[in-house]
Amino acid sequence: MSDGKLEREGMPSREDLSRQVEFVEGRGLRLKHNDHWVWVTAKASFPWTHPEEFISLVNEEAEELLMVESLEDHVLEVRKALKRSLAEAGFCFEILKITGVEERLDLREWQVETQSGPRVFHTKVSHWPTVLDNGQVFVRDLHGDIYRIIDPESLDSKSQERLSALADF
Amino acid sequence: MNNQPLEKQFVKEVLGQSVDWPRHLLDLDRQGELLACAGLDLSDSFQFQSHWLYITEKTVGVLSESGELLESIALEKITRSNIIEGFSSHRLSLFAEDELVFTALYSHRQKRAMGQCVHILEQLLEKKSLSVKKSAEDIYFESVFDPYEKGHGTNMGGESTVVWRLLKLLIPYKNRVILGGIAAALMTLVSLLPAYLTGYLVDNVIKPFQSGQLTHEDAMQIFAYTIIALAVTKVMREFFMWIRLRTMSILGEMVAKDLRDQVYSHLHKLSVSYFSSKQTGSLISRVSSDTDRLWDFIAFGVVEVMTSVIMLLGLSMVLLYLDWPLGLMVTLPVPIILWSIMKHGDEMRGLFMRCWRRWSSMTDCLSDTIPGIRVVKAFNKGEDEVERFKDRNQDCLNEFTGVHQLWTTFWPKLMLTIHVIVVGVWLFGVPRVLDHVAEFNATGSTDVGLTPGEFVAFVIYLTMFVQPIEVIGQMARMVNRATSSAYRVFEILDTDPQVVNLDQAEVVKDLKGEVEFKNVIFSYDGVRKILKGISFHVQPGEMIGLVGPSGSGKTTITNLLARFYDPQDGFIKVDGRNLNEYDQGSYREQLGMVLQEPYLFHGSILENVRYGRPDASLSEVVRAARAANAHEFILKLPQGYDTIVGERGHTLSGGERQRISIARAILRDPKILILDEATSAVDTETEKKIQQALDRLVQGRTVFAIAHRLSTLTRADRILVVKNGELVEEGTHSKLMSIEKGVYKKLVNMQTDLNKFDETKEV
Ligand SMILES: Nc1ncnc2c1ncn2[C@@H]1O[C@H](COP(=O)(O)OP(=O)(O)OP(=O)(O)O)[C@@H](O)[C@H]1O
Ligand SMILES: [Mg+2]
Repeated sequence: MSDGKLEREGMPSREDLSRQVEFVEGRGLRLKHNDHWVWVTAKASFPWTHPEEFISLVNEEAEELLMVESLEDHVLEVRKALKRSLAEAGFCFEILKITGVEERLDLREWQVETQSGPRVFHTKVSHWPTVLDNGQVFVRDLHGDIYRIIDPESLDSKSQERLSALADF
Repeated sequence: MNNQPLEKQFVKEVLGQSVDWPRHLLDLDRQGELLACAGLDLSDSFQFQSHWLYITEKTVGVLSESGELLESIALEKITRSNIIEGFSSHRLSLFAEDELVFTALYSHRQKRAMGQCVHILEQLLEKKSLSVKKSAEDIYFESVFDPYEKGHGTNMGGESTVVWRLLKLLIPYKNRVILGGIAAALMTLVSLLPAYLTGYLVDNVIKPFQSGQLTHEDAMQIFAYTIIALAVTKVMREFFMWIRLRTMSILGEMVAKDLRDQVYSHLHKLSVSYFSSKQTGSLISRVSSDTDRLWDFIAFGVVEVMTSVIMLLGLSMVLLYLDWPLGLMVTLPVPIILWSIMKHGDEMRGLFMRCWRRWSSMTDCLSDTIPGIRVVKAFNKGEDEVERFKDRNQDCLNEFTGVHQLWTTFWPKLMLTIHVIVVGVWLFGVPRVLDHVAEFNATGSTDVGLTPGEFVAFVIYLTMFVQPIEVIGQMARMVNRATSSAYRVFEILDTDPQVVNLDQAEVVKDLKGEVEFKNVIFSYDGVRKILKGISFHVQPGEMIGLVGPSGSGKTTITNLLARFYDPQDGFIKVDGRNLNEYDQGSYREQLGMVLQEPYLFHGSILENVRYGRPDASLSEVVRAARAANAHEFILKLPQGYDTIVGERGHTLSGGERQRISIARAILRDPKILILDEATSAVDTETEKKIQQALDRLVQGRTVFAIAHRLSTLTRADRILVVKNGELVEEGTHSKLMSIEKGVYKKLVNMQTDLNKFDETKEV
């Protein structure tokens, strides 16, 4: 582990961080740690409920090098760099339209249109979408991909009807 | 089992993926150069695409959907790879030293296939010989299909396939089936007779007698015949009914029993990995309630539907024969009625799904809080939990109200429709009866209109229409229920054990206990490597201590040694022979395990100690319990060794359970003994006692002891230190202590510090 050094170091100030974090196009985020540049990944601790708070920067060995408690505290470049990095780690398929939900043989088949294009995926019949307090609906398919509906009520009525048997939003 | 075509078909049709790989890929595969491939199905802007990454012995290549070669990177240039996991996207990056040479995104669907690619790539980079047993194509499709297989078995055939398979279970009992079928058909046909007889009575007895064509005596005689015929049909009907019910319900039980036996014995053949991917509850319900539902289907469903179809067809024919215009009036609406019943069924299913969801969210409350009742009480959350339950219970009520509103309005409406038809029959039928009577009175002709008897029979037949319609309307639901049960049951039967005996597997009689791990690589899920090339060699009779941080892979090593899983790569040899050359069962007889979470079966302590050797004598049992330092506490229990320990041994403390499971292992007298945290749940005093017990136990066997409390391991001949799935240090206690900045030394020092802390506190 990181020998607990970090915890003792505390948060760098706004200006410091801007000199310590940068996003390299095509490569990712890097952090100046103990005077060395280290490639890191940004991970949101509460990706759905508080996506812009408590962002953990971890190295390739999954050790946390830095915790950014709130994006708002930082200058634009840092925010951009972190957001850029988070966009990838936090990417999930956003459902725009549900073209069909069917049950066959103990599987539930979803046909959806997402921001990434059309897709067919499957869940167990006993698997219900998760609805968060803020109204977002999540479905996780058998492979582990996550699909999100940010605002179910903005879906077209057919899609809403299909969803309503499976989740209360 | 060869399910290749199915897998491909499924991935191609259902997941809508192009199964036809780009030409170049196919060519490489045909030439045997392709080692692995996976889809890069997300572009940098997170749009779906169909690019492919492939690996040969010399290059890593990327192809576009149309087969254009986008990248070709010489393998010698690559030094390492890295994968970053996101929620739905993963990023693969390849490096030449610190320079990035390639990076791309893919979704979870490709995760396993990509895991294979990276695994093979790493082997190549480390210049290890590859142990690829399957073609790249097989690997790819299996890995994309795998989650379906895990969750749902290999049979992806349609509903009809499953129904057929279900019916095939009846083959061994075909005589019974034929008997039951004939009885059912006869019963149905016989039930058509009474109405006909009633009509006959009206036309050939009452009417002729009324018009004076028949004497009282003759009328009574014909009447007597009809009565007898009626009685005979009724008796026959109940007789056939009896045969049918008896044959079919017993048949159903037999088939269900066969299935239960098959499923349960197949479950025991399956490997440990199968059980960790399933919920215990779901497996239990498959053996119990799913087979029960199938009984229902076989005993009643099949026949019920068959008789209803026969009934409906018979009725329609009789009605059309009696009077075709009226007959048409009745039969034409039937398809529409059936259709509306099915549509209603669909609607109900939607509502039921909501109910089921509510229901399970309510029962989740129970299964959450009841086992955790102590936490609830400790945090004084009882009232909150009651509120939560009430809310969900209310939701249930609301949902069920909707269901009841739907069906309670549907059926009266449907019946009303049927009544309309009945009234229609009266409306058109009665004038025609009158026509008939008028014509008959005028000319004596019987050709016009409808005889009163025919009309009466008609009306009676009409009332018989409703029930078969109802049954057929429910058919879709019934088949659906039965097939999903059948599916869950067949899924178990179709799963092949992952750890299998080789054909020429040898039955082990006696082992010396020499163990060798060589470059063992293992992953539970095929993606995250838990053991990353472990090698060590243990002489017979050696005691080995396994230490390392939590989650480092210690238990995993013992799982492989017990052959609960097979390594992905590398090999494990015992007495110089590969583990898979031994017959599993006989090999495990030479093995004793005290698991990290000791498990006691429901039964007496005696039975539990004897589990591994039911023939052990009482004195051996007592000796083993003594050796495990369990004897004393067992005698403190009022019922001694006959004390029944609950489902999970709830009446005993953790340390007591551990000691019973040690006794169990001692009694077994194994050649290789695995002690996984055997002394974790006891105080220092008891630990010392167990330690003594173990000292006695370990003599003359190869022992692998895992312990967090390192003081337990001072007796070990050698200590292996595992960290992050790698063997980082190896040697005797004193040798390891002499390594400056060694992992083991650090662990020991930390624990001694803690002990000092404890001591100062106690003073
Ligand atoms: N059945 C399983 N399926 C998937 N992953 C597993 C399974 N069992 C263990 N793991 C993972 O494998 C890793 C090693 O686990 P293992 O049980 O071997 O650790 P350990 O060294 O025995 O730890 P501890 O000291 O806590 O018992 C852990 O990260 C764990 O999450
Ligand atoms: Mg363990």
